[in-house]
Amino acid sequence: MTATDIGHRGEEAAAAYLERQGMTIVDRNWRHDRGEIDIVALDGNELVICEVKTRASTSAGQPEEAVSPAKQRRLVRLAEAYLAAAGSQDVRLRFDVVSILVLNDDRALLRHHRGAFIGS
Amino acid sequence: MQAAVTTATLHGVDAVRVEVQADVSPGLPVFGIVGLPDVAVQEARDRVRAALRTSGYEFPNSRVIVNLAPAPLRKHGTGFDLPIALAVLCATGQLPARAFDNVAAVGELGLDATVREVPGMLAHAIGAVTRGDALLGPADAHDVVSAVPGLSFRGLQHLAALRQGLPAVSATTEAEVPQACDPQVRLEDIAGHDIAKRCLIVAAAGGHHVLLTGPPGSGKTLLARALAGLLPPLNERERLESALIHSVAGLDPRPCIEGRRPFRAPHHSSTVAGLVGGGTPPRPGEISLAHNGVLFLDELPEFPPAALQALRQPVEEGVVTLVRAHGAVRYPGRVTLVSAMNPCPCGYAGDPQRVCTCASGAVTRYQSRIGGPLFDRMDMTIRVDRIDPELLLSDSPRQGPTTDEARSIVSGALSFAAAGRPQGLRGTLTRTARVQLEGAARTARMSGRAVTRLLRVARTLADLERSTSIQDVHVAEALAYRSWEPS
Repeated sequence: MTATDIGHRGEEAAAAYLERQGMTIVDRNWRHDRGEIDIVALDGNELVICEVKTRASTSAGQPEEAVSPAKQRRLVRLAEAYLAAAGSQDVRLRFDVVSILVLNDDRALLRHHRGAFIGS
Repeated sequence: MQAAVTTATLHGVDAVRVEVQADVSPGLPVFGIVGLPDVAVQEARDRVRAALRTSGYEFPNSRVIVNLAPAPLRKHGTGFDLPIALAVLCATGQLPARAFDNVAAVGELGLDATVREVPGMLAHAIGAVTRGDALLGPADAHDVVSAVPGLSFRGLQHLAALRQGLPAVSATTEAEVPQACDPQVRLEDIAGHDIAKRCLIVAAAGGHHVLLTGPPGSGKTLLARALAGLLPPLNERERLESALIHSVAGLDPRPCIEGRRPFRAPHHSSTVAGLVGGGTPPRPGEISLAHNGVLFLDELPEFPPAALQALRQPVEEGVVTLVRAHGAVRYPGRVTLVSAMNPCPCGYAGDPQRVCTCASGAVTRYQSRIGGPLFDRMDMTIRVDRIDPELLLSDSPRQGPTTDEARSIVSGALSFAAAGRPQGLRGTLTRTARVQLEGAARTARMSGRAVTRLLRVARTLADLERSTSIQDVHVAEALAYRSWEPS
């Protein structure tokens, strides 16, 4: 399995998890010229911008550690672009990170960080 | 939703009112602070978020903008933590919107939501009284702020305590009986040096500046330290003034509140900013910390020349004015300046027994480091010579007044000067004393300032004897205290 495959499987698993948590998936892999939002979901009246990080080992640290301050700033800008495209600014927004550590073919650890960061 | 809470920022020894406005709106979650905050205020964001969570409140997942008005004023310090937290709580409806009307809030927040003391609590207390506000602040500051008359103080230990409503106004503690400085050195511990001891009593009674010159080990430092014990306790106004400066500088104001006169002895490596105040944000220097007390400069010529010259204006006027690009800051600095020095690098110039080994120009160079203008501001300049070993080692009781006796002499002179005689200098000078002073001033080519200073010393000498007029003996003695001049 390539890294891209692992990433795709991770996003599937994350989306399924968020739905089990009662959220409604609004968008998947929303693309923009500055990057991509993995999952956009609605949690009650909050719009959730979710970044999914999947890793097969912790040799480079925990998956969520890859969401660096620079990556956070990129996601904030993407969220602004998303809201602009959706034509709505007056909405409660939240940034979540789902980290998935693959243990073997059918086993993985999933961690969900609600409100993992805010804009600065 | 919006809410506002009153607080203040320090400018000199004043607390300038600042309004903390919080706006919570939907949208991209951010927590921004605007309105010229410094780094410490910016860091409030992390402390406030953690403190709200640990105290069981919720930090809003919304767009939170905090504005510190008036926006052009620079805000510094960690005291903004508490008002920012309160403004956010009010703006999110977790506390009633007008819960903090007529209350000024000041305090730093720990991550565990405890409310901590910040420098300048006394300044904040005085500011709150002036504006007619109550002060909400760290409960630990209670004994400090209760020195401010008319303040209603609400002490808060932990942010979570606000669930029980605004804390009650704490009862003010009774003012303690003022205490005199407990000196490390007492007059009765010093052998000999009768003239120098007398000189210290005069300095204490009149607030005169003294320069002690003499060879190494002759007892200059010991004598200067003994001066602290001769001064009476601070009066009510002085207590608040001195405590306020200590509070603003982030030092413990409690000794001043208890009435102990400040005694500051900065090392001669001190900088200009350390001695007269400075830095960003400006901080009071040693001369202001010694306000209403004694500033002791040991090894005077070793101080940086710039630092010594910076002392000239505050020594004369009793106030330091620091001018910066964004305004001037004033700190009081009325001190009794006591300095000590060797007459030359080797220390033995003018010594009756030992020969000075300095090169001819070295002595003049060394003494000229003080500079004529600063020297001119010394009221009394005396030599302190080595004492006879027999006097030092003898176990018979020491001659002269003890510290306790000297202090009551000083107190007597002070109350006589304040209430027992007509005020003013020239009017109380007798004719013979005047002729004598005129002659001496002409012979020694004294400056106008030197004459005035001499007259003031003579006035103090008269006060010590409870004499309404300044007699020729007083002038003669005052002249004797200008016995040493730089060569």
